[in-house]
Amino acid sequence: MRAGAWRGLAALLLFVFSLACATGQGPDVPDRDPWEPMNRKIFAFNEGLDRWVFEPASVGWDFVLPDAVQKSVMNVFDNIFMPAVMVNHLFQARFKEAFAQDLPRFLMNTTIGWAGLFDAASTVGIDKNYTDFGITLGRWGVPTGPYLVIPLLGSSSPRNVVGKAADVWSTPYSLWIVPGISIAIRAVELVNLRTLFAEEIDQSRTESIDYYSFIRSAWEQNRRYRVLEAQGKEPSPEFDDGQVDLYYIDAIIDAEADEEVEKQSPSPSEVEPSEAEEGSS
Amino acid sequence: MSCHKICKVRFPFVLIAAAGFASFLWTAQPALAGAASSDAAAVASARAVVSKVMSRVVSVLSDRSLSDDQRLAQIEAIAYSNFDFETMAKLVLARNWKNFSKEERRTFVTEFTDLLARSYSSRLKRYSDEGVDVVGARPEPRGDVTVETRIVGGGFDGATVNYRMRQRGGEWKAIDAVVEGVSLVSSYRAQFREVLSGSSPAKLLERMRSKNSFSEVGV
Repeated sequence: MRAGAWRGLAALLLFVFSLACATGQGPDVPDRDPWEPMNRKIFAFNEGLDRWVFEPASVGWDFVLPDAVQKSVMNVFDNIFMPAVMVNHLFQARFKEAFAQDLPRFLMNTTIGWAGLFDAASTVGIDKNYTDFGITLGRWGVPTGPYLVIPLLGSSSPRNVVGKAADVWSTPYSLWIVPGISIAIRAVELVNLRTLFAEEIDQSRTESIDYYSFIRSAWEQNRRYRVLEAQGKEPSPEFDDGQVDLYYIDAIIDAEADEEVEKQSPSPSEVEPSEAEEGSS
Repeated sequence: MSCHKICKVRFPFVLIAAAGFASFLWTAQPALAGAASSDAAAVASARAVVSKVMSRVVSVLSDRSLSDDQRLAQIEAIAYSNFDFETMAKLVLARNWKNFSKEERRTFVTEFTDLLARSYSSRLKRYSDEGVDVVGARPEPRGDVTVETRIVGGGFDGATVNYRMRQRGGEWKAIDAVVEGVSLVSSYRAQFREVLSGSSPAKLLERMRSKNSFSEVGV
């Protein structure tokens, strides 16, 4: 069984590396989502799965369990993942986080927090500080590669797939226990998280103009932010079309808009020649 | 679960436990954020504005005499007066702004304002069950200031929400809210670019209108 798992892992890594090499993404390539057609199909599949399996399951979960219990379930999983977080902080050379946050958190929550059920550490000001091996790789300069949607697991990228595979070793329940049980535990974790973030998911779905682009953008921004944080840089948002400064407005756009504010009620038929020119540029 | 696996994990942790607790005592002390530069005055005034607005938000959220709808409406009102939605509209459309007619631009700003105000307010309502701390501020290019806040308590405890502040007509207004590194402006810009690459501004506006009327019914 173990050997099979290893072989599967090796095959997966090889597959992802070959994908990453095949596209050979340079910094000047404007297309940040070369796998979009495939990604959108898998995304639609995941959405269907969510609607027909995870959403109903989480509605049931929410009905049966009080919020405090759901929170505790999440805490237990956070605590189980804590040693992996600490190892990654060490790999990232972030010793302050490893020894001043992760270690006391794990010790406190495992003991006073009743095997992780209660987040005792947060109440005394030692906050959760998540990280993983994907971020460790990013911290040392490994590029993330194109956006990749994985069936069941959702948003990812080649770097992240490698990171997930590495983190599996250090998460006790994922490889160490019998696979059947491990899948069941993973399902509980997912349904529980789905329940806790149900409102957030619903809202994102109804408000987005294009849900796929929203999820891709949000995921990529969040990963980038965590990597910059791991590098000790000031994480400032940017946009993916190569224009580094997200908050810069062209002088032309600004002048036109000011003009517009001044004339509050121009007739709609009034078209200025300058505007017609710009439309073609 | 076999025992020796567990013991194997725990053993090294026990060894460094003392070191861990010692350093914990050190981190428990509040960190001192020092911002001493020429922009100090701007940073301080932007930070003061965010602090004031956030304390208003928290007082609305903790006012038990209000119904959920009233609470949401009040936060929306705060959002309307403290965000510069017109600037945000330009930032999200970027180069596409030029392809919009004046009429379309006006409609876009209106629809986008509705969408964003509602989106931001209902998120804030959910995030900050307990409170919001203003934890820092730093100068940015072109006189902007980023003010960092942290959610305290509730399901999103510890989440960072950064506000990008810009002065307009002598007043500090937010031009972006960045939740755990995810910028509202950036994620809407990605969506609008995607939609506009395949259809006209008119189609996009139609889509936004239907979104807005849909969520009004939903609330």
